[in-house]
Amino acid sequence: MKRIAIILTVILSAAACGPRDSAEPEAPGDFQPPSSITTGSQEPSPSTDSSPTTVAPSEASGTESATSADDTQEALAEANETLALLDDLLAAMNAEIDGLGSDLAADATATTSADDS
Amino acid sequence: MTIRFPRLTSALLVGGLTIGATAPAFAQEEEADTEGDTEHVVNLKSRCQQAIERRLGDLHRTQTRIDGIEVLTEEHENTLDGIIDSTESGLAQLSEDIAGEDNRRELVQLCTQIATSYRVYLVVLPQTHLTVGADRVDAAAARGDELIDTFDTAVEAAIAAGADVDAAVALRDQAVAHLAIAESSNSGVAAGALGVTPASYNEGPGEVILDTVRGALRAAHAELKAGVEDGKAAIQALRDAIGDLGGPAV
Repeated sequence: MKRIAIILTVILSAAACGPRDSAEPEAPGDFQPPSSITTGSQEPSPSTDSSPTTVAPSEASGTESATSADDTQEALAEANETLALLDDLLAAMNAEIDGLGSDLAADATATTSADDS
Repeated sequence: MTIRFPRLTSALLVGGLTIGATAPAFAQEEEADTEGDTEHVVNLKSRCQQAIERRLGDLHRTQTRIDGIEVLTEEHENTLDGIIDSTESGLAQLSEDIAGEDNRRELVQLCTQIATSYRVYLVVLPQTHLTVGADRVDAAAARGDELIDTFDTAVEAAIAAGADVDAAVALRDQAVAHLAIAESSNSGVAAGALGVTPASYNEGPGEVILDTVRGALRAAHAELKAGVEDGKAAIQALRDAIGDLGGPAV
C-alpha cells in the first residue's frame, strides 16, 4: 500500500511539473506577446519624424520668401546687365546720327559754294 | 541760294549771269576773243584747267571718303563709284580737249561744259552725300531696332523684379514712333538722289528731286534725334524704376 502511495505521488508530481512547462505560453496574461512590443516601439514620434510635409508652417513661409527674394535679385541683375548694353547701342546709334549730320552739312557746303552754276 | 540758267547759251552765261569765279573769267576771255589777244587764250586755258583740277581733287577726296564708310551698301557704293569714275574720266577728256583748243569761242564752249556737263558741285557731290546719309539713316534705324529689342528684354526683367515700368515703356513707344517716321521719310532718298544726272538737273526735274530728297533726309535726321532723346529718357526711366525697388540700378 505504501508502495502504491509512493508511485501515485511520483506520478502526480510528474503530472504537475511536465504539463506546466508546455502550457505556459498559452496562458493569457503570463507574458506580453512579441507583436505588442514591436507595435509599441514603432508608434510615431513627433521628435523623430523629419518628413517635409510635417514641417511647421512658419518654417515653410521662410523658405518661400528666400526663393522669391533670390528671383527678384536675379531679375534685377538681368535688368541692370541689359541696361548696360543699351548704353553701347545708344552710342552706336548716336554715331550714325552724327555722321548723318556731317553728310547734310557737307551737302549744304557743296551746293552753297558751288561754282558750277 | 544759287541762281541757275540752264537753257541759256554759254555766251549768255559768261556774259554775267553766273555766280562764282570760273564762268565770269570765261566771259572776260570771250571779250578778249574780239581783240585777237592770244595771251587771253592762254589765261583762259589755265583757269579752265584749274577748275577741272579742283573738281578732280574734290571727287578724289569724296571717293576716298566713301571708301571708308561701312554703312554704305555695296549697291550704292558701286553706283557712286560708277558716277565718280565717269565724271573723272569725262573731265579728264575735257581737259585734253581744252588743252588742244586754240579757238577762243570753242574754248569758251568747252570751259562752260566743265560746269554744265558734269555738275560736280550741284549733282555728283550732293548725290554722294545724300546717298551716304540715307544709308546712315537705315543703319541708325537698325541700331534703334536692336536697342528697342534689348530694352524690351530689360523691361521684362524689371517687371519680374516687380518694377513699375509704365513710364519707361511709354517713352520707349515714342522712340519707336520716331524711328518709324525716320525710316519712312528716308525711303526713296538714295534711289532719288542716284537717279539725278547733270542733264536732268539742267532741265529742272533733277534739281527738284534733289531738293525733295534733301528735305526728306533732314526730316529723317530730326526724327532720329528725337528718337534717341526718347530712348535715353526711356532708359533713365527704367533705371529709376529699378532704383525704386532698392536694387543697385546701374
